[in-house]
Amino acid sequence: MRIHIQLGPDPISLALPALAPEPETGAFVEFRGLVRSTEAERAIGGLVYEAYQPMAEHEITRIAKSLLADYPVQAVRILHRLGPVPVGEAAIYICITARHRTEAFSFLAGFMDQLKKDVPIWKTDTLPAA
Amino acid sequence: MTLLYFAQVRRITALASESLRGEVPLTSDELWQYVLQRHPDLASLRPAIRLARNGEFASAETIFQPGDEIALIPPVSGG
Repeated sequence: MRIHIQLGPDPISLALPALAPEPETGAFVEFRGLVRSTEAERAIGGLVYEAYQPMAEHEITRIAKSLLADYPVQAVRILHRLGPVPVGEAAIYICITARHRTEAFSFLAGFMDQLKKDVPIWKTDTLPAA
Repeated sequence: MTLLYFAQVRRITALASESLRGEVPLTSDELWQYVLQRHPDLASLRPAIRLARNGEFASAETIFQPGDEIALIPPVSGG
């Protein structure tokens, strides 16, 4: 499996270069997690993300490799934005290629569940502009 | 040893990191004794904080060694 991980402050473009499919690729799945306008029913202006970056990258790699045993995808690209992220913009982007959609969707769901438990990334919300 | 603080832990300690004096191996309980002496307001968060040693989650049996980078990991919220 090819894994590409990037954590950083740059906005996640809507026109990212796609993962190159392999001849046996049958599923190409993209996911963007966006910042909602509310947290706990309270209006926010955005989120600020921080990370313990070396460990976050290590944990992301570990999780991806552990999921591979059950969901044999071909390649995965994971981008997570750090620093301020305004409402409506993507905080995370995941792209997966696989032979079949089932393993791609399952890998994505499993990865997001474990990310939210074990990857040392934290968010705090900011107030909306007056 | 270097202690790293993130998120709500950093907001309580008002520090991003600090060095631990006395370079001897420590159990997690001994490490917590030191941390809580310096930052007693972390006590209520302790049950939710995991320790990491050199970039990997520690277990209850982990011994923290001189020179280690130790992070206090409060509940995460990525994605």
